[in-house]
Amino acid sequence: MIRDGFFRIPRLAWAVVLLLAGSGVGPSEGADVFLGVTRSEASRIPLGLLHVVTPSDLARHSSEIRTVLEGDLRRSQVFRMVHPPFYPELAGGGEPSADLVKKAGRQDLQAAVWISLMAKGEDLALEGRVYDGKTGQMVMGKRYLGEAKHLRAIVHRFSDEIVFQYTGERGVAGTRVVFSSSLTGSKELYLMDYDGYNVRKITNDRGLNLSPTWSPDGNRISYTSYRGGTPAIYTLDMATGRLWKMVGFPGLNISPSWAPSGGELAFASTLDGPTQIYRVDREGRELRRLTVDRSDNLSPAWSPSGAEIAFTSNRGGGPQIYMMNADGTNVRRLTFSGGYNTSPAWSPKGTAIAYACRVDGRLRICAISPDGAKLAQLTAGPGEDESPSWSPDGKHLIFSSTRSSRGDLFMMNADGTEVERLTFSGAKNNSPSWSPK
Amino acid sequence: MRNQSFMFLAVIAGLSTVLMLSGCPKKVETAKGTATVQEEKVAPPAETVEPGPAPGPTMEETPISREAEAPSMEKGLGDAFFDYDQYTIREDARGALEMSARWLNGNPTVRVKIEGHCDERGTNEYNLALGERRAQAAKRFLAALGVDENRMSTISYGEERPSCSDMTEGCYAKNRRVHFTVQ
Repeated sequence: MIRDGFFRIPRLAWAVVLLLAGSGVGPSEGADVFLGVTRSEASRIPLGLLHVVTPSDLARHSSEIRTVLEGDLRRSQVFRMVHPPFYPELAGGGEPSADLVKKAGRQDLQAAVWISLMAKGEDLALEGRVYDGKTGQMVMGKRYLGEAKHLRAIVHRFSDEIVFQYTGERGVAGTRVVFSSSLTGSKELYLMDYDGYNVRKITNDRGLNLSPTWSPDGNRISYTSYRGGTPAIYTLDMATGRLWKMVGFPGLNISPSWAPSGGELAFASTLDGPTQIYRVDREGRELRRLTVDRSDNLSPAWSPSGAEIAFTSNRGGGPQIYMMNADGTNVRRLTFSGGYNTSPAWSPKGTAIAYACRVDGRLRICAISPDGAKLAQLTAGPGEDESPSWSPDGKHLIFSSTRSSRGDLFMMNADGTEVERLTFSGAKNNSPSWSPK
Repeated sequence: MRNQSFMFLAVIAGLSTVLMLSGCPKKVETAKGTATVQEEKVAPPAETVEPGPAPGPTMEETPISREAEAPSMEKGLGDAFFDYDQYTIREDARGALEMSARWLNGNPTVRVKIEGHCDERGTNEYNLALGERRAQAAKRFLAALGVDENRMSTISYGEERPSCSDMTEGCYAKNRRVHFTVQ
């Protein structure tokens, strides 16, 4: 059954799993553990923010610091936010005493956070401390210096450090998402923080810019652009601003995907007729064809080891998810449930492949284990959901949905719980890709 | 929220007064323990914007509206429509393409670009492949009616350039099309 600390499948997904099991189509057992480690509320560490100290001229930042930190730690799936009472001893601005922390600890606080914000010249200095509720001792202390406009980034950094302290794995609060949006009438690429804040435009050609994806080091974004007249794959170097056409064969060149090594890019092209999957090296040379077939093959997604590639193919009629070795051999079909399954995304830990599945006429987000044995439908409700992309820690998925607009981006836990809307632009926002770090 | 911060400030102000009145506060044991505070500079990762519009052919600045598509209709190049998730040429599309073939055969110097389009219901990348299939199907059909293949190029826009933007079946049906532009 469901063990503490393991994945707890939402009621809806269970329903689907049971339905499939009943109809003899798919999985019957073990689906509760294949999507990762979403902790149940009860097994999360109770953490509270004791106080944010600011001089009066910076007091306006204190509620933002609180909101950002609590949002990050809640989403981390590691902590449960509790709200300690206000301790008058802290009002003077001094750090908490061991006795005070222990007092808070007796109120169900395993970890107590205390933050002090100060001006340092033009910049801000944020000192964050974490205390153990039982011993009252400080377990971690960090002082961050940065520009005032980067205050959210500073708090995200501190959140990620807290997650690291308690799990040994950094949080994802400092990550970003690149996506395609029709905000200006054409389709341009935008970046935003992982929580939907700080949306900024990164392409400017007033054409179509689609399917952005990150290189594994986070330094490059590759995407499909019509800027030269036909759809070609361009790569933008984030540090230098250099933009270059990486794949520009006649016809269609789409769905780029970087190998985990960063040494190769897989993509789909109509170079030889129907849409096929190819790979090139990091400079766009050494072309190798991977699929040899008369149907359409596209949307390659590398396994985290780089040994395999999942992709969409309609060789059996409608589009389904297939897998092959990274050299194109050993092709086998992965999805059999439903008539329309596309856009695979391999989880960072390798245990699941998320994809867009059509169920009862609507696109949903589904996930399947690489052996095909375990399957879950993760989204439901109004609208259509597509383009899943994993957070680098594998605990979240971001996807686009028309549930409340023409197309906005939503984040959810890997098991489909805690869906959170991230964009509110009123435009068509789609094809999100979560940065690797 | 606002009320809370007011109370907060009031409490802080009150306490400071108490502390001032009572002279120096007693030194308290802090909880620093063995951990130390480490310092770190925070600057978000470098980000740049791509260097602006490309030289050479660029796209229209506004989404194509049905009005903008009208000129090719006058030239006798009407849109041909498709069934959902299909690229086979329907009976009514045959008629439209036969008309286009007649016009192209009567204007042998004209070169056309055949655009394949989809409705918004499939996924974006798969629709790019589907739009390419539709454009190729139309091209093959016209070639069979005697139009020189070298006069025709194809491009897929997938679901990215709808001619009709409502979320209705009527609109979706209009968006599943091949459209001609004279080059």
